[in-house]
Amino acid sequence: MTPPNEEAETLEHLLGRVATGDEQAFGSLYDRTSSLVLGIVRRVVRDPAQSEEVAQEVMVDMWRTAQRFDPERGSAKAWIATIAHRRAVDLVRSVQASRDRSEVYGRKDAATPEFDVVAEQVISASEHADVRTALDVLTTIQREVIELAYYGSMTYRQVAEHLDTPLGTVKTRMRDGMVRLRQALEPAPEPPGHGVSE
Amino acid sequence: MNDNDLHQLATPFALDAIGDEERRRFEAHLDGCHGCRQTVAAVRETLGDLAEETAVAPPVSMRDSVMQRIARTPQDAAPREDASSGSPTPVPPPRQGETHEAVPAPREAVAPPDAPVADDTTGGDVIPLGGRRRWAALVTAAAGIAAVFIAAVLVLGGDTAEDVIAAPDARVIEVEAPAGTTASLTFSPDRMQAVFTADDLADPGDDSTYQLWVIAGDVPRPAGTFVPDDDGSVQVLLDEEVETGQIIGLTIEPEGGSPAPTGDILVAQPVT
Repeated sequence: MTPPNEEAETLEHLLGRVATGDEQAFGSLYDRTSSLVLGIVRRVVRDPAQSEEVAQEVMVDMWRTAQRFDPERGSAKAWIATIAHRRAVDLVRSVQASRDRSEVYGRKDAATPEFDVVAEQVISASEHADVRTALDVLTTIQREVIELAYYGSMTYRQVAEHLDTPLGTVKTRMRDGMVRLRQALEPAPEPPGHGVSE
Repeated sequence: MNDNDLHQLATPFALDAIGDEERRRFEAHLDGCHGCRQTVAAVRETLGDLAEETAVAPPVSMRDSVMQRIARTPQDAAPREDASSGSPTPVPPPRQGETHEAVPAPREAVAPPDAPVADDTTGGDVIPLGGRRRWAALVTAAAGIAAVFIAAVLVLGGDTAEDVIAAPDARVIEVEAPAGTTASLTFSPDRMQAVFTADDLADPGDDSTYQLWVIAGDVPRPAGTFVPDDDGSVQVLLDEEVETGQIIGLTIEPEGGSPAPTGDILVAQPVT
């Protein structure tokens, strides 16, 4: 069995080979997706060194769980982005939780410190914003809720509290924003099987 | 939390923007909700595409480091039915390579009925590599067929609000609504269906209901009634076909709705 032309091979097919324990296939998968993974993690975690750590974990996760990828449920790219984002958010939330615990124990009168911490992080995220072309299609209020949630690691409830906006409104803005974003990203005339970066 | 509330968690869930407790409840709901699965899948595809725009090349040294780590990391043997998240729950990897113990796949947990997955891993013996390669090839070959099935489901399954919102051609039309209210239509031209969504709608009053209308020419056709939930939110599929150029109307009517509008026109939104 000769490996197919790796340039033309779809990520889904490549993942299928990785699932068989093919380390060389994993190397190709790494080359085509690691920048995508690191990009997501960096936006969420922000600290470059920590982001690299998390991105490595994600790549190892992909190796370990490749057999769980089910092409019926979505594309390889979506699967990878899901794993990467989840890992990054888990890290941020656990760091936050331990920070909150020490704050609560340190100052008994501390009200709800987590929102301030998150808000601070989000502000610094916006400062470092560079590539925003796709998100530009969103209205300001849609973009705000999506960035606070997806890059700011907030739950929709935290977003609602942070913006002092009803929960239903926040959910609607998220939903409408994602639909609009999909319309904007959809036409992407990308040559089949072509990679992410390079 | 009722079903309507749960449906509205599909997007926050896909954005990893719900708390653990709500996530568990939503995951249980997701197993039985085709519409929410479609919404979650659609949002994840979008986020996958978005990731292309934020890509950051890792330092060259990271590659070696990862390649070394995977060389000593055993792979999880059996696909787990994880319909809800599609992402790995952090389970310790089975030490298959070292102990020669294949992990038995729970029979009921085998994902697609046509993917010969479970039998390869239930024997308790080390799986010959050739065998695993074969099924992996089958699985990837099946992917093409699966894509056709998914497309068929998308075309035929347009019967819930979530289905319409998840439709590939769905577009959002901001609705000019009474002051203090935000409203939108999500319209799928292919399906000729639309979903009306609003927040902070006033209570229609006792024995009254909101009623939607599809107005073609001068003739308003009734397109469903609804009462918003306690915080004034609603998401409802219009039960009339909708086409570009028509107008979506909203009135308050006596309970049960009217055959033709009698209340003030609160919304008259052209479908563009």
